[in-house]
Amino acid sequence: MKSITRSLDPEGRRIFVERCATSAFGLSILSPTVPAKAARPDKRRSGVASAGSAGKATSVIWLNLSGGLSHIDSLDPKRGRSKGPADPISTAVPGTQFTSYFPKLATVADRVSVIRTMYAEIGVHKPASYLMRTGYEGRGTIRHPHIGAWGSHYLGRSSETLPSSVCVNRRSDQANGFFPTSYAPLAIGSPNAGVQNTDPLGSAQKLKKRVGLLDELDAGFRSKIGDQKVAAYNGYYDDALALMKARDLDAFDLSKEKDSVREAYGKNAFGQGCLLARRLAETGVRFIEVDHKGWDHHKALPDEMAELSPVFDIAFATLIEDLEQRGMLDTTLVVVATEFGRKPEFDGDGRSHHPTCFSTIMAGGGVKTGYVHGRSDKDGRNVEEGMVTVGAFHATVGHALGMNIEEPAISASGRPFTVGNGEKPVLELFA
Amino acid sequence: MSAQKHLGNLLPRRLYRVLTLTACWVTCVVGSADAEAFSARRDAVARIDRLVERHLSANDAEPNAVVDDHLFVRRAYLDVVGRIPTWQELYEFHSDQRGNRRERLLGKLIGSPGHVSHMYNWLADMLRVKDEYDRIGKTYTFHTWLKKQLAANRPWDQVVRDMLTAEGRLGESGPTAYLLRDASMPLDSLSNTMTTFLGANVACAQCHDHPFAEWTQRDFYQMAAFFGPTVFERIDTRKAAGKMSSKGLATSKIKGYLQPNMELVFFAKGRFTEFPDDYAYDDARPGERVPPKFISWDGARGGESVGRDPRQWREEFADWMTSKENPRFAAAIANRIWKKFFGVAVQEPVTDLDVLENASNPELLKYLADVMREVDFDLEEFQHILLSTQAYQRQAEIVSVASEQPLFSGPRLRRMTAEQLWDSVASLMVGSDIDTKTVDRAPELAARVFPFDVPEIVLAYGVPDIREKMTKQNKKQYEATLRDLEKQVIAFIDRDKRRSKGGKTKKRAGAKKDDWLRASELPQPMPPTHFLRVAGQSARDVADDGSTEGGIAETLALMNGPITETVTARSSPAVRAALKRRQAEEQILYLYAAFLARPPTDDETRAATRALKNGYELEDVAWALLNSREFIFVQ
Repeated sequence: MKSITRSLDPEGRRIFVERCATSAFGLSILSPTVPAKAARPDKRRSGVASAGSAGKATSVIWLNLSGGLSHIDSLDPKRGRSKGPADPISTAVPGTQFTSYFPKLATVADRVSVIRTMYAEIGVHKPASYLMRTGYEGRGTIRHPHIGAWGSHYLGRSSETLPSSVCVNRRSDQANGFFPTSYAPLAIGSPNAGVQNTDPLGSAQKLKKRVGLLDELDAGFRSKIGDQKVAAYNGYYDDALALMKARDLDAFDLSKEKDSVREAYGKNAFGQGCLLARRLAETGVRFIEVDHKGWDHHKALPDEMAELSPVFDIAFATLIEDLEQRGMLDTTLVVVATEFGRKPEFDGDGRSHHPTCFSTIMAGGGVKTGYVHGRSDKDGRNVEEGMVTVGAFHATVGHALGMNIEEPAISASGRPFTVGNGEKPVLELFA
Repeated sequence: MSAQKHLGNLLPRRLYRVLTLTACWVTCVVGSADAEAFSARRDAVARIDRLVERHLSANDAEPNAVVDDHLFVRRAYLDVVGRIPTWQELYEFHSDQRGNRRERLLGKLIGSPGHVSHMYNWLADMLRVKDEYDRIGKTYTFHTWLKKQLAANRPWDQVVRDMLTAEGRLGESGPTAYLLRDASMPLDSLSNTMTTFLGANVACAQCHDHPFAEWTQRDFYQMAAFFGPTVFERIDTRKAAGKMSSKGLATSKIKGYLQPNMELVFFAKGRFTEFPDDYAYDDARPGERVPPKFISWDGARGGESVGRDPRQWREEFADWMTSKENPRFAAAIANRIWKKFFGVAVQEPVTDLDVLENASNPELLKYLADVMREVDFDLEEFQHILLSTQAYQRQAEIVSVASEQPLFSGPRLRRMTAEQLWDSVASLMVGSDIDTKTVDRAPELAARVFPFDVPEIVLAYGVPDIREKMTKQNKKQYEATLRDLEKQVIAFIDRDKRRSKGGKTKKRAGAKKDDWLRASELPQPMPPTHFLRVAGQSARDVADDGSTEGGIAETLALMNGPITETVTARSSPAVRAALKRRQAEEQILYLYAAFLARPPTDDETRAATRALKNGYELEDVAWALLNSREFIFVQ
């Protein structure tokens, strides 16, 4: 499959992936937990897609800087009293500056769009991360899906045997939302370890026998207990067995890469996670999230940023260049997200949470190059022009993937939801 | 292992007999003990049952039937001790032919070492217990302290009070770790405290007035002001250790010694909370000192005056928060414990009780809070009451949509927590002895507490602006103090090195590398690829983050992973013991009892026997039982 998809142009590739998706529907892999009312696949593409280059992306690599990236010390450098320890540097785009913590990012600035006017109202990690992952504020009564699950809903499966959605360096929970658990991502705890336990104990034959016995002995319980959570488990077993047989499991194996390539991404969990994301996108996984922890710089910001930034800087720049060289950047949307920014003023030698103005990145997948969206005020405290809410950010990603984001999905409890909570995509971001 | 050998002689014929006796529910009656306390318990149990039943009938629903003894025993072990019962424990229960054996079982389990371990996991998820906070040293004293509080069944209000008021060094005072956890972010610290212990959703008020509740940003800062004069500082010892390492000792070594002394909570005169630069309202100027003031909400002791002495403020806050008159404190913990046993809280989420009327059954929640106060925050007694209700002992409530409001026709069907799953597997390998295999690493830290005071000036190592503010003379004095301190520290390390030379080798000889331990005794949390984490153990970065959703990675581990290989191997205790029986039926009974705590049905016996005749091994049966939905779900 790898060779077929590579030989296709982006449009051909999209059609191919769609066909895979169509053929996969009706398979047990999706059916066991689909509630009757919810999650009917609708592969109609976004109506706006034909205007401009939206809808070009076939996969999304979502890099999450967990803890809250200080926008002022990274993508939106300021002079005057809110200036941080690092000086601004020029980038490949005349007139656009980042801080000196990100020299490599500066060299690929001409291939990305920076959004300097993200806006949210939650300044606490857990609920803010929830908002950034789902586009919705958390509520006690419903769980919202992340983009990967929306993708499975609108576009179907992205690969015959591999999961459509993978998350690296984080758990798989809180992702499928009200959609079936089969839309939840496969969790990779460590990119070096890849997907673990895919070889059966003994032989495949033996496993098949065992699963037969399991189904027989567990039948009484399963028929007696028609619980949603039990049904989800039945789905996991089907999915896990399918994954074990997948032809493309090598995609998870970083040892197939040259050491020089692994080195270039940085030999750490995030760098290797980015490399893994590239391999997975290449093999037909639609949504790959890579988590990078440690950006919560309340204390010792100068030291901590100096230590942590190169990890992101090197991995991100390498990823963009690698995707570009492989001709994948047009169809791969790379997103850099974080739950909020940090305050213009220092509190001791760190900065506190600041949700009302912060910065993110989108690159590839039909997004403009060398573009800066919006303007913050001189301290980096408030949005001055071109506000992008988290909902709009999600709508933009959905739009880039060609989802019909105006068509609501109905949760099992009968409530309508859309990608980005009804917000409009930021069309200025598209080339 | 000895227990299993012993069982080999008793079982399975007797086990078979007792397991297959028709289970019947006997109303619980306690003959001896404290009759008054028991009568109070019985009244509370009856009232809870009435409230649940009234709510059910108001919703045209029926309570489920009471579970049989097999289900009850498995559920009780998982909920109280945090693991499945062993054969011997099953045998003990089922061969007890006297009345009210359920009550006797609860009495035996509550307060046992396994219960302490299980409750610790629950608290560790709530309190984000980690071996090591970001770049800061070990917190073992906190773990040990928590376990001790649970073992002694200290009342919840006192436990929380200790955490909020603890002073001193982490190396000698475990509860200091609670505030040290969020030391560099006092506002988040307050927010976490209010959310965890009061179910007060105050996070919004950090930046602006709360949109729904009565919270204003000013209220929030006034509450934070109680902690203003408290320096709960975590000192980065890398710099200090770096300075001293020139004296011939490795930086890492010195760091290890400094750590338990330099993470500390203390009162600092003249420190106060100030309004932030971006304070959004006109009633105060940025930088203005914030006077501490208790917020008020319906029924709370609002407007209570605050003392003049800043040294007392933290105590006053703790008094206010943990008071019986604070309507939220009792409700919050009662609601959480209910969730622990019933799978879903009376009001969800447990971190937001702002509108108590939003509870699925507001009267029930109100009464549970009353009970919590009546038992004086005795968590064991409170649990005993809940576990004794008919509501708890009914068949599981099955739901097709997880977000449905619970009616509590029975406890929700739940998946085991990661810790229950791990501890169950560990007990299959080790037996009930696993509960008493404990690890206490606090002495490692305590041994490193200096016998001399760490002068406040030492803080200057980690706080650059203190140094900048010093006058020349101060600086001189400071340098001299530092030199003196360095001498003392290095002398201490030397002495300790000599003292502990003999001890180390001894310790190492006794420790076996792959010993099984319960989750509570392992590193907190385990690394991301470990079975516990794959099964949903919280990373402990955010509160209440354990997951029971499952996923493909976990399923692969259960089908093909090393844990499964070990526990279903021919050499595993369960399979080995089963193999000792000649009859296939008995072998199958053994495995069913070990994994599912019940005898197989006739159909299951036939199916498994047929399989054994057709080339299947007992390992295959063990594998199938371990991977069954029935195993991983708590009915």
